[in-house]
Amino acid sequence: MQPEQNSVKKNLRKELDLIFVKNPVLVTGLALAPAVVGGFTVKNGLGLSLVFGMVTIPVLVLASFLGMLSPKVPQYVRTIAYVVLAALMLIPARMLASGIAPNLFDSLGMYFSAMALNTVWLIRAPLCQEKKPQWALWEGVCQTLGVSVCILAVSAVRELLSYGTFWGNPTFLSVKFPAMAYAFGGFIVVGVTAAVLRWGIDRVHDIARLAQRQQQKWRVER
Amino acid sequence: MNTLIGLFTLLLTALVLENAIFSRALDVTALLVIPFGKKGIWLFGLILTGITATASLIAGILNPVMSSWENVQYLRPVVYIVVLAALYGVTCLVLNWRKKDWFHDYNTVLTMAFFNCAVYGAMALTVYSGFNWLESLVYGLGLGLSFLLAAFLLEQGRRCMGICNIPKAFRGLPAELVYVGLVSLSLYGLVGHQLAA
Repeated sequence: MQPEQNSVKKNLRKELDLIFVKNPVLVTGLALAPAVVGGFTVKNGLGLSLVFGMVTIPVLVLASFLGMLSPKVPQYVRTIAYVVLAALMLIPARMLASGIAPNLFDSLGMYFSAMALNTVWLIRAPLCQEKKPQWALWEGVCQTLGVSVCILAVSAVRELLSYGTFWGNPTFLSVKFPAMAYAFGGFIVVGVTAAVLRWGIDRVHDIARLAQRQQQKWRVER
Repeated sequence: MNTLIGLFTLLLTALVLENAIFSRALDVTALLVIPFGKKGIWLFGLILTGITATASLIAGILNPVMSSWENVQYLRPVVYIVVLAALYGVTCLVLNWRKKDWFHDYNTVLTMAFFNCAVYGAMALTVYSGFNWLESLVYGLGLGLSFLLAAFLLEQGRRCMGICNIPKAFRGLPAELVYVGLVSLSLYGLVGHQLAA
């Protein structure tokens, strides 16, 4: 019973790494296009996160179920099934998004629908075929959280810099850089955010290593 | 003659001014992250060009038919993606039947080339720009070729970055993103845009 519990804990923790340590956008570099171009206001960021979750989670769960089929079913047939499900999920996603902000779909343009073909599920779905549905669901949730954290952070920075607002409300920032709302601003902000995250992770690892060494020292001294 | 000049201008616009990577960030993941290798990225680019041209042509033909539908704004993305899936299915079937070894080796490249933002973007932009089928085909072709141009520019950038002493936190993806951002900024200036004073 104990080893089984440990393995469950290990799996839960492994997937939680997707939020920061193995962030799908900032570390792995997947789903970059919507983060770079679409996420220039927090409202847009929330809309993109929403559609990402509504597309990715069902597709990964479907992949897990299709993994139970005979291996004779070719991979490309399974891929077509994922693509069709992803496309169909755009309809409820759009209805939900119009509930949050009526002009969200127009503001995001084609990037809203392009989320249906994001590289996260395209790469992870074949690997989720070997997972149990509950683990595929958990991975989908963690991938969504990871992408949302990145997109919301990047879009908050870009909205602050380009319009001096947050969620459309004016802030203390009086200096504005309107260029940050353009694609090149997105590339630079995402690149710098990725570097900052990497620096932070390295520092945390350094501290953990130092603490471990100190513990070993104390043990030897005792 | 005017039509030809118009089409050539459209091709140039798609290739440089509205570059898939630098001005729209379409399929930037494939360019920066997926380890296709030097030869693989060119093959990927060529396949992508063929697919964007075909997909835009189909979108250009479908757009007038779809414009009379009710709730077309909800259905259009779904139709585009389902059409893409059907095209992928037919291609896979044919390749699996005629060129089984090639299909086995390049199955992943083919899947990544079919399902990405660039192909969807090429289809969606035909309706935003109100192109007819011929303009759609040329625009799709230009969009695919613009990926190849971006791949070439990134290759040069990578070579330069390889001999520079880049801070550890910026090595790899962050530096490449900033590099693409700077190229994008220079193209933005080339178009003649001016930032607010």
